[in-house]
Amino acid sequence: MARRRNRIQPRETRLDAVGAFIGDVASLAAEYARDEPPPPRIRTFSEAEPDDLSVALELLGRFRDLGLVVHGPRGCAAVPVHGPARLAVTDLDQQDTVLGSGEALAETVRRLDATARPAAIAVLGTPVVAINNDDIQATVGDLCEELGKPVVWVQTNALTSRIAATGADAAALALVHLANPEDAAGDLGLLNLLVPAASPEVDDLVSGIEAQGWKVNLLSETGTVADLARAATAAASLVLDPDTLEPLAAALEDRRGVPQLPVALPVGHAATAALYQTLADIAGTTPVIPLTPARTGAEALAGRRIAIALAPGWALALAQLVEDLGGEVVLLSVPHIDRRHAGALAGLAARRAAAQIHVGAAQGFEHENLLRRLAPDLVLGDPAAGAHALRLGIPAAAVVPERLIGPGAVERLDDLVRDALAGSTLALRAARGRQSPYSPGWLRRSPDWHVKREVK
Amino acid sequence: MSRALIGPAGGCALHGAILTALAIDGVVPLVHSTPGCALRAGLSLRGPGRATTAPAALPPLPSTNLAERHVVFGGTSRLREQIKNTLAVVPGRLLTVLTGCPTEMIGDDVTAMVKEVTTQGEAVIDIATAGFHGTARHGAESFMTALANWVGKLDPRRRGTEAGLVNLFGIVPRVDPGWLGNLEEIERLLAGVGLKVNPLIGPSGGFESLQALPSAEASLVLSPWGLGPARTLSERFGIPVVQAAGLPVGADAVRQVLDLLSEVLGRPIDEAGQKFLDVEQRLEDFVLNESLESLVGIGRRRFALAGGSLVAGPVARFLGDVLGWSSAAILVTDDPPEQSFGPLSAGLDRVRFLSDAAAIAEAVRASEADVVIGGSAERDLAEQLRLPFVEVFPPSALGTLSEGHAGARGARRLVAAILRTFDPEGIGATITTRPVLERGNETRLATVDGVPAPPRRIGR
Repeated sequence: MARRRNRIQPRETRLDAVGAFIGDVASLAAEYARDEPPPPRIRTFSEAEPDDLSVALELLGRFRDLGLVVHGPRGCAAVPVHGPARLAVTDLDQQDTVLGSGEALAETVRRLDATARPAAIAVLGTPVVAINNDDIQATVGDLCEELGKPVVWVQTNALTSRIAATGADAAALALVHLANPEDAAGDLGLLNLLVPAASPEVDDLVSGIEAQGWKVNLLSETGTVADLARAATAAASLVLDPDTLEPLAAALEDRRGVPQLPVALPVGHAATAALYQTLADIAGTTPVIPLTPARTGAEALAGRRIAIALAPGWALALAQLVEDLGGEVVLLSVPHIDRRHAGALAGLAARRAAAQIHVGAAQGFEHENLLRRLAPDLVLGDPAAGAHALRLGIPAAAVVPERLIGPGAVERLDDLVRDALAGSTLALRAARGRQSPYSPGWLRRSPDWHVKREVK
Repeated sequence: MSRALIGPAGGCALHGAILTALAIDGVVPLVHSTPGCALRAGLSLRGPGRATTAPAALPPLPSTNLAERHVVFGGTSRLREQIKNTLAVVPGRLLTVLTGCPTEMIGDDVTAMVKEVTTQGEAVIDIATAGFHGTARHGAESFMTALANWVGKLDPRRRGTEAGLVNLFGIVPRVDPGWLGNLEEIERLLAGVGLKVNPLIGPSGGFESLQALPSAEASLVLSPWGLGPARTLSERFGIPVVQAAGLPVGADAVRQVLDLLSEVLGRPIDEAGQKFLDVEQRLEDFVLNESLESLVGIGRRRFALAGGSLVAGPVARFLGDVLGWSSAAILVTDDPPEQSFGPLSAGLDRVRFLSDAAAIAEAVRASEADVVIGGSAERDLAEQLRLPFVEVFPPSALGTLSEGHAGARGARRLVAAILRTFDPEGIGATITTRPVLERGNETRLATVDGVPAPPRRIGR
């Protein structure tokens, strides 16, 4: 059993994740309501997708003193991280793919340790070494003893899962090995706060949590290996980056007994106040609730048809907020969806059954087709989705999850929407004279033309 | 054999091929590999934290995104399906199937799949671009060579030449810093002496430019990464190859390259061309004249410079030949082939070829330079060493928007970058002192006449 728990299960297996779907929200919600997992779907035309390796590298790269070794050809390490001097690659060539490369890995780990002096080292697998069947685990085990510091294997390979977020699971399993408290006692007043990135709103939230009598161990883009060790001594974890950091919180709960707080994302005054109330109740203190913001409604959203393109946890949270504020969600574009999202999906389906959902990572053709058909008033989402929208003449605002945290979320969203609509000249200019890079004939066909049920 | 590479930059052969294909209007790349391989080509265009979305700056990038079962049972049927659908969905004039490491390892018969569609009259070629073949620049060269071969097969009989048309090779799009700015400046400079660049990449390139390759009178090669296609065209069509010692930085370097071209073409630069070059020279003279006071204040520097083979040597030559600075270390970081070491080092001292970030850092540390010149990686290093830093190579994310350093205009930008570092408040305003490196935690300043000044940190 213990061995089994050490293997990474693809999100498709573990959480019935779906990476290809285009249709209405109600249909997908109904698929998750059944006992069976949703039927697997594939694409017969696809554009370059991300993989688990990129996601894992990005997540691990947030820990600034963690050395990263990618075991594969040099291009597998082409993911920008803060502090590139702590990133190394075995730079395999064609001969290595035939003869194997275990010693190359050991040499690279030693060299990175000597040059960057990281607190620990994570070794990431690639499809090349997966095909070669290189034994990373054995090499990593030997190096741990030799270097006298943790060296962990990150089980990425870009092959076993079509859901890139599986890389977050692989990274979490490696990180939890580093979350080793040694002999440190548990700290009943310590809360792990797992956030996507730093922001003034995150700072305010930390202050708010501390006001309820807690200390905060912030695990963000500036985390360290010591923060991870400290995380294992905490009383609880609160996850504000559900799609990437929830697996780490789950691993901390599973392996180190640090429970996750089952609370909604603190987006807006009511949700933030509820969080503070919960934390105060646990701490046995009198809750300190933030003042109600001057603006509690987002007039700019009222009656607007909105498309949202974000990671699924935040996309669904934002969709609920948009609907609460009088907007109409017409399209939700997410890289994947899984059983953890089923509740929120069902909630959205109950309010807006005909809203379309596009499940696909980096599938520009499908996304453009849907935006053309639905012609939303505004796209809210990541900057890449925003750029695509502008090219179609649709105003767009970049939504960064860490800026929507806290009691002022409604005001900030309202400001974002107003600014995007007021600055719509950029959309007009970007769309002027633009020719789609896709064939007009194919853009007239159904957007799910190339999404098929997989026949086994 | 593999090697431990610290701080790998620039991606792999597949990435170079992808970025080159995406820079030629009408050429559509199709990547036959596992997920992630293709998308990572674009990630260097961004900073950290956005690894899961396709960069909006890039055109569509079709990919087979192979699953495990394709690796086990073969991915050719998936490729067949993807080729057919890509031809339908993404309009283009040439589809290029680029293989990644997994598909070359499992031995998918990509050529057979491509043949299926070419026999139906479609323009499709396959190119072996697995990442393990080398660097992004290597992949870009392989890609260009394959295109030159394809054009040669397509139109084996040269139908004559277009007077003054010059193919341009050796600038790698979205990999070389300031690639577009440099390209445009080379076009302008050649136009000034009555020549026309056939650039292939960028807004003025495209499929027509690809078709025009055999019509050129010469191929101008600005880095070792352009030799492959130029030699292919030379062998097939007898088009002479003019190999420059890198990007011409400064008016003198421009004149040298254009004189060489004119000699090969057998046409002296006419009076209008000479006048144009005189104006370029006067621009550089003017800039230097305006900056002399600052340059005197800054003093003769001993520089450590790191950059790719397109620009490292040329910038170093300008610093040495024009400003009179001396090189403590010139580090060529893009892994050029060994045969090119000689030409790239010609006339330069202390040139080394290193692509490993730790080795580069050690070389700069050991060089006893008093200023570091390079890109963002060298900025961090300069900060660690507490040395002044001149940023001349912008990060990849800004590479397309940056102007580059070709010609007298490029030299002007180079001088401006130096002045921004040493004399940011205006000519002579702050450089009555000159920084002198001390081995320790602080840098001590001394005035020009040698009177010591209080310690001050240099850099940020």
